[in-house]
Amino acid sequence: MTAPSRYSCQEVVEKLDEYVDRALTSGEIASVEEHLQRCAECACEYRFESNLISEIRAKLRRIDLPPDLMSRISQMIREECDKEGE
Amino acid sequence: MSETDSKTADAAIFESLLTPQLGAAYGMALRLSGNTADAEDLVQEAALLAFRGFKTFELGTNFKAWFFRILTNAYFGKRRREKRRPTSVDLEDVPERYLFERTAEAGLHERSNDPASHLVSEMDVEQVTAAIDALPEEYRVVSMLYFLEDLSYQDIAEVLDIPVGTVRSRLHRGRRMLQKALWHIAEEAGIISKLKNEDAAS
Repeated sequence: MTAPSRYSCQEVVEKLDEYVDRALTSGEIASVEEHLQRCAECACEYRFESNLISEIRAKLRRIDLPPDLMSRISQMIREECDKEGE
Repeated sequence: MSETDSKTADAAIFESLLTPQLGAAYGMALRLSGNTADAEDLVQEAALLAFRGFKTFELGTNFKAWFFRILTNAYFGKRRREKRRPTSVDLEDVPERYLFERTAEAGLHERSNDPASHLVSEMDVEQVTAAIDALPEEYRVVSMLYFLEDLSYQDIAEVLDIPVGTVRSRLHRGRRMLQKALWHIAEEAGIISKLKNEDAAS
């Protein structure tokens, strides 16, 4: 197995978003993780970015669905079916 | 099977696919339109359009991405008739690590082991939404899909009918813009001063 290539801090910063999103190749993930293990500053930034995204998501997802919305849609669809059947 | 029976069967399948996605769709519509009445109208309009076009949906493929594409197109259709309010934050050329640097400069890293969560937890939903709303349209919608729906880059590309590479670059740039908008709003609301004073007092 080949060792992961050694990324610079700049390369890691550029790939951090995709690392957080698990959108890198396995080779790139290994290289980012190798860097994060030896660079405290980038590891700190990784935690910062990752926590920021989690907190924004948690904040935005607290939404109450109007209780009758699905029944209104069902009614609309029934009317649509009736209209086409006429 | 008569045409009416077939339509009724389609309606049952359509509703069984839509029901688990309705909360997410309403959440997206609410964040896009900014108020509950418009969000309900938008979801209902998208549901009707989707049902009318249901024969074009291939069962077994990604219903969520398919429905969200109809929802966002319906939103864009409405949006074209309205004017976006300009943002007061200059979001051009925001550097990498923007929020990390700002929070570090403000001393928030020294006393909190999770300054990002600390900052955002002090902001209310309206302030976070306002930060996303400050983004230019093409970045805003990609960011909404990303933050609200946890969709993959591939799914976002499918919803918006754009290449995956465009999703990647818009998200990358959109995140930097969002960080600047969050910082600007938090500063204006006195949250940064409050956190600094809290830190000093603790």
